[in-house]
Amino acid sequence: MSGDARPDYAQAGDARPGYGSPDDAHAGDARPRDARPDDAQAGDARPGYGSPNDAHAGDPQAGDTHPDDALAGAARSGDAPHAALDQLVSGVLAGKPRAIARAISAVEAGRHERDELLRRLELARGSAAPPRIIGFTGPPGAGKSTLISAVLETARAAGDRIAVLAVDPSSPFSGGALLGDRLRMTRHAGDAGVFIRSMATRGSGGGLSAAALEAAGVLGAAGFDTILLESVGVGQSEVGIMSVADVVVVVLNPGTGDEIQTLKAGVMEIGDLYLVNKADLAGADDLERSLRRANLVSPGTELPPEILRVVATDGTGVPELYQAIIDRVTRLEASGELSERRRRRLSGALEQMAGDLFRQWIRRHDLVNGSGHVPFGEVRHRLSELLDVLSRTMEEHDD
Amino acid sequence: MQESGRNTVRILIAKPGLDGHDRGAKYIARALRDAGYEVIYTGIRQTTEAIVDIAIQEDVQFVGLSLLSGAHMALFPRVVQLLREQDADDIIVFGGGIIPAHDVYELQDAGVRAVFPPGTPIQAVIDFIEETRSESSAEPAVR
Repeated sequence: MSGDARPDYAQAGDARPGYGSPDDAHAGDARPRDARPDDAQAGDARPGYGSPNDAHAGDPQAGDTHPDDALAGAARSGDAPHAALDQLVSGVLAGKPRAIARAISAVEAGRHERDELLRRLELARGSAAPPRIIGFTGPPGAGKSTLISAVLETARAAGDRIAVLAVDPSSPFSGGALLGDRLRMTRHAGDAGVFIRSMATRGSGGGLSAAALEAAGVLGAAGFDTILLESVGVGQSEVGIMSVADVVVVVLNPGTGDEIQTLKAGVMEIGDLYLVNKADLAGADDLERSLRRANLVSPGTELPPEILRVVATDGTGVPELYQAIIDRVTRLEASGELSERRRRRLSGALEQMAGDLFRQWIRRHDLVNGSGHVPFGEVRHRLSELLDVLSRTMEEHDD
Repeated sequence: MQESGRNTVRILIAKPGLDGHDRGAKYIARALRDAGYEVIYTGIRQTTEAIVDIAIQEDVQFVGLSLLSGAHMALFPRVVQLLREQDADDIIVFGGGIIPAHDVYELQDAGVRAVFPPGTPIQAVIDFIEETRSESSAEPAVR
């Protein structure tokens, strides 16, 4: 099929401007026969192709057609960061997708304006109830993304504005990530009442929990009252990220292990709702039975966890699930257990942030002091001294 | 938690239109992941409007479009135009797939910044991203 094209492409890399890497644009001497007349100057003439810096040279959009550009430019050079922040805050509060997206990037990257941004969004929100954060966890392939897409459908039918934070792992080797959760949610693209954002774990469970909580804060300020938090689905870090949620839904499938699997510690101890997804498959009854026999408990509440059957692919049981989630939040709110959970998670997030900060500090200052063999006791001693100083400073700060 | 202020490049890999051949798109998505970028993949058969919505919500710096059906002259410039209409023309659009050489110039004139045909070494795409990433506004300033 592409046989004809090959000969052309074989040399395309070095001969065609813009046909391989940006550098090639300058290499444009050996042009192919079918070169267009203006090719001789292509390297210089094509806006943005020659060098990364003249990208907008010939672009009418980049001039002063946008009155706000001056502000954005000033912010970048550090002259008027407040103007840019003002704009970001008002954009988020007005529910503008671009502003919401950029605010989430800012909190995710831990940029310097994060604290001020969050504080101002909270102030603007005043005493309005914080958004409900619903966590979805469960093994890979359990159908979390498909289920969330079905829940979005139900929520939209009810007229609720709803957002999704979908977390996928970053590679510990390259730092890169392939974020594919929204692959199963694309039918909601273009609906202004739905905002979906993919987040990579970027290394640590601790930082991620804080970032997810902060991203949820941004979405709440933008008027999304319900936020579905989809997690990676495996391991102990699950328990960490799910501590951000008000209510946790554990998604399970029939045929994925015997009764003992459901009794394992960790994920099976954090759920408010346990779902038998793919309930149309053989083994659904067995799974449901073993869940009911397992005497599951939910953390921090007297309410027993609920066990529901759904078929995410055709929506069976999803309206009932959505109602059950809302009822659960309402009951936890009424009993005061929800605010207790929120207090605990804030405290947990603070501890994690402090831990992250301290770890970064230690890494920067290298307590081991570079080379040679340092006895562990000696390092412990230095650390103890450091902690003494720190706690004295904190005592003074309290007074 | 990562170092404060570091910018991670986010890239949307999208397949507009009715073409269901996604090997190239999946290959590039994975290769860019391995190169350390955060890659969001839309899956096949997306409308240009959906692609632009997703690009904005995900706050990506790049949109890579893959098409093997021959509809690139209609769909690639449409994505560029829709981004412009959303005041998101700082998002850089590049393309790949079966694109005849003579179409490349026209696509570039329409704002598609680079086109990578079959057989392009992945390093060429990475070089392109590294050289152009500073153009895409990194600060969360909003127009």
